[in-house]
Amino acid sequence: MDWFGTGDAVENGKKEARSKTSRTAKTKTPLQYGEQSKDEPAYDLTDDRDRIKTVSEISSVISRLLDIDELKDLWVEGEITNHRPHPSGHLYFSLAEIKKGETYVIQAVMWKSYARELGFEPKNGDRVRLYGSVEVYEPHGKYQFTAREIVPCGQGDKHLLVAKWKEQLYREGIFDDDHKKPIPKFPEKVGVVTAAGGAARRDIENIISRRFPVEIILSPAAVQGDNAHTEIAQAIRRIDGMVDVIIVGRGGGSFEDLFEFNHPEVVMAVYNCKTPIISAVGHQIDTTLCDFAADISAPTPSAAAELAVPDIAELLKELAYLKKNLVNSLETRFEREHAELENLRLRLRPNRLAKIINTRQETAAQLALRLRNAITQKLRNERNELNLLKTGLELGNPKLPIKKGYCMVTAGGHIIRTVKDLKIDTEISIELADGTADAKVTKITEKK
Amino acid sequence: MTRKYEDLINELKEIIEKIENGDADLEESMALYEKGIAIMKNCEKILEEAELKVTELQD
Repeated sequence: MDWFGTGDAVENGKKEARSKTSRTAKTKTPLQYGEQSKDEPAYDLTDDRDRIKTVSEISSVISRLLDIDELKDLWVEGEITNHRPHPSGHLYFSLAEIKKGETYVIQAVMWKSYARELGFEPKNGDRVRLYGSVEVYEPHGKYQFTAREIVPCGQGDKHLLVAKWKEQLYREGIFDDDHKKPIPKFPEKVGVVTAAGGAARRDIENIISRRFPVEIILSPAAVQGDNAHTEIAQAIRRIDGMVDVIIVGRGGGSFEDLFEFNHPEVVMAVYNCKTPIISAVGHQIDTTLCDFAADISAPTPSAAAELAVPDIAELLKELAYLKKNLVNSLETRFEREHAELENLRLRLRPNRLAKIINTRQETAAQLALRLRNAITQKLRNERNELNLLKTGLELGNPKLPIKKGYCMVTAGGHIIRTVKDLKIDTEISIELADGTADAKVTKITEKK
Repeated sequence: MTRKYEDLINELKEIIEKIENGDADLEESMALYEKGIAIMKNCEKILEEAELKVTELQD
């Protein structure tokens, strides 16, 4: 793996070197040549141009020569010297070795991005192991060891082991950010992987009961001692899927106390866990590989508990706020409806409409008047006609009595008014309302 | 239980938005309001009834 893109750098360096060469040949060389005394035998620099190298060319060659696997990704041991703090945060120092009375020194650098993840502060005189590569800083023609890890030797092999694991797991992508899962906002159940009787458990339970008391499921494991890593890994696998979020951790301790949380078995259990994991190993300054693999890492178990559950007081505040919003929303709605109604009402009765109504009312009144006049006239006419008829009737319609049931007797075309005009067997005609009947007189009785 | 809490809060927010932006007619808004109040009570109840329970897993 080409960590620092050294290959590219060399390529670029070469190109740059070449272009510089051509520039130098055109400008600088004739100038120097011009300064030569005429008496001295002048070297024909134009002919020798190929033999003359520029500084950058040499640097480039050195860089290429040192770009070999044997000087890459290796551990080197020695004593720190010439170390002084640099405001940039990069660590500049030398690594020295005394062999048969001779001191050998190589300059070394650790860039800020690596330096800030160191678990300790290197001092002059520390015997350490560096992991990194030999690289050339071309502009200065200087080679140096670029360290990516510094491990104190005095403290035994465990540091070295952790550094090795870290490097390896890092390469395998175990610490990649895109593998990290989001922590649920409102977990139903919180899992805790720690020692059953540890301070971490107490802290976590206290915080959770104070912030948002939910169900805690403890998956107990020894958190230090030679076999703790197996227990921790098992405890994680056992509780995976049973809870919404898992806190893995323990309280503070020495590097050795926390060591088991660096073990790849723990790291892989964290990595493979389907449930989101909050890691909280030791105190603020302690960092273990478990922290790197977890979905989120908290400085302490208490802080992990705070990350795991929301604060009920905050939730109540939010709820009160939402309640106000809800009531306001309806009130606002009502106000808006009122305003709209008022607006509609105003639009409903403009003068224009009143005028229309007036006009119509007038029209209606006129029509009513005309109607009344017309009907009065009509009635008057009818009454007149009726009166006329009545008069006519009174003047005498001779046949009117017939209609009432009387009859008219005629004989020989004359109306018979007295029996004296009749004899037995006189033929008479009796006129009734609906017709006439002919008859013969059979008997005559005169009133006395 | 608390997964539900999150859903409830989200529903509540939606209800408020619906009433606010006037998507629902007035009658509907009233119904939404009633529902919102009910959800609110439910949320408060969940918070009130939250209780620490610790279970220890055995091997």
